[in-house]
Amino acid sequence: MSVPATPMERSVPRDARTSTARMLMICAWLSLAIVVVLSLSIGATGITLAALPDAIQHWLAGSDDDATAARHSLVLLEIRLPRTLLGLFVGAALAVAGAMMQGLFRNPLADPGLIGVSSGAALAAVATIALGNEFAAPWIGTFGPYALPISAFFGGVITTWMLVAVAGRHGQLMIGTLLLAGIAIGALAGAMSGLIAYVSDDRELRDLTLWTLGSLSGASWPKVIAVTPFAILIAFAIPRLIRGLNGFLLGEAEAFHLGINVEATKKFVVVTTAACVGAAVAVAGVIGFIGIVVPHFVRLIAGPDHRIVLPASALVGGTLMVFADILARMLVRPAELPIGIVMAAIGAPVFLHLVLKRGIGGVE
Amino acid sequence: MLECRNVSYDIKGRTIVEEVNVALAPGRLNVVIGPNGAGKSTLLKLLTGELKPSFGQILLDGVELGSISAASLAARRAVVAQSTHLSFPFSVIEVVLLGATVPGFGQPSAVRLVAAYRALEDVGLSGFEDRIYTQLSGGERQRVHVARALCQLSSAENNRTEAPILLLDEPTSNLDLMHQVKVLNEVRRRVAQGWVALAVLHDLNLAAAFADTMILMSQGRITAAGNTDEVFRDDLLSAVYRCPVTTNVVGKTGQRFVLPPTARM
Repeated sequence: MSVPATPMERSVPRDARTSTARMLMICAWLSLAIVVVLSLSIGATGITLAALPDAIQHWLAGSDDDATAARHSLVLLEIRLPRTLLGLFVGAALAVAGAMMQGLFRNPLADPGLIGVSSGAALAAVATIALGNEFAAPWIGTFGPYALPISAFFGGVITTWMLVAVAGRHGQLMIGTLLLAGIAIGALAGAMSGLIAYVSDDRELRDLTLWTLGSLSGASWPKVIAVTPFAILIAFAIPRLIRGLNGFLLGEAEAFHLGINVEATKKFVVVTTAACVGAAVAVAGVIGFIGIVVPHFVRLIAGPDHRIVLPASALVGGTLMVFADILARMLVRPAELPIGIVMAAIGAPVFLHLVLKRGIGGVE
Repeated sequence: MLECRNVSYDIKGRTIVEEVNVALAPGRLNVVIGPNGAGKSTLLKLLTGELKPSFGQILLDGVELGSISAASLAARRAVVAQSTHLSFPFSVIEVVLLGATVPGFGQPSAVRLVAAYRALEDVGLSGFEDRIYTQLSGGERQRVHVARALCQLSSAENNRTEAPILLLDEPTSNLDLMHQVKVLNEVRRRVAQGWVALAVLHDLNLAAAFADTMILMSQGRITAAGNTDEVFRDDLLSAVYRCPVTTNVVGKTGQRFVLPPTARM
């Protein structure tokens, strides 16, 4: 048998795919930087990034002498910056959760919304808004403005726990059952949210609508701090799930043959996804589409290897969310659109275009 | 040495594999034959560790298979399943390199890349490295998975003293004659280097041509096992396959073969 001349010489086209991936990462970082600058510069007040040094100086000095600087500091550092950071987190978390679900289910159309986690989180939030004053006054009294996000997060966690209880047999997660149970639980949660909306008064209904369509308008530093552990969780999970998810694309049995601890990987994916989605819904409401569109876009460009799909989805997801938020703020100012509407308006046509032009990401 | 001791496997009260005893030693190609539903694939899945026996023990060098981690098993044995459905558009070389364990963001080393290219060369897929897997024909896909298994075992080969184990479930079912022979010759070549190998084959003539040990299964049990001459007999095959089988011998080489019974008028 002849030995190949040198592997490097013969792997030029493989390097081509790797270099496409590298280009994608560079472009993703650049776009992210651009939207962050835009997001900090654009807003109803007309304050631009040029005021940043002024604002920082004011913030450091902490004096209230200069009213303009105080206003700059407030708008840039207390409103736009946390909003931008929260947008990055929510976009990245939803996109990575989507990519992980698609790997787990071996289906490019899987989405965290599909297994009911977002619906469960939304139901808890809706219940808190509409029924909280009557039935859960101590809860709201204890947590104040954070009662809502905390409820949403636990709604997501409880849904996941129910799913695992239904789809688990002898310590194994049945993926088919998980999917079907998720759809059923999601539908049930949706119906209950609808019922609560039906009996709500007008003011509650308006809050509910904002929540179910998603919004970053309530962004604040405490919310940014609250989601930081989840951002760390994503960063921790990504490198540890790459090999498992790549193996899963061949099938569970094959993943085991390749040396992957199948059950541990499945549980890690489900728990990470639930935590990410629960946290994202908790701070920004239900925002669809990003979990399907972003990983799909990445796969079209750089192939299905999770070494690129997971980190690139995080970057592109964050970028897209901040971009959609800029539009949500600008289009009808001084009012704001729910970001879910903007995301669907961007996402749906792009998705349709991609599907019609390229098939579903080259996936059969 | 990979061995089954008195292994049975039930599912919902139905016995699929019953009291099987097999010992797979290095240096011999074991071929499992038998009619549909005889339990061949289930036996193979038991040997991979994918299924746990309901009764009995499966031992790898004396250690219970179930107590070995997936990762250490994978360093030792590779599997080509009966059918593997991969619907995401990986390139061929990416699929083969799934066999080479690289954690996290790491890229495969040059040694592993060479192993992957060699494995593709061995199954007749040189030049296919950057083709998209989902656009290949059935036979080409099957050979990609054989290459993946070869790559999985050869990349760890250098620092290992125990014999690698290759388990193949109908690895030639979609292949043309030339590639059936090519793939099985590659398996034989590794067996000659001291690998442990077991293949489930449906084609009796292919089995007769390549087997060192033949294992004939019927209704979950091993009906006969041994050298080809001992198993490839008219009475045994006719009884197990429930149709009249006449074995023949090629004059010059002594190779055994059967012809399908012709349709009666």
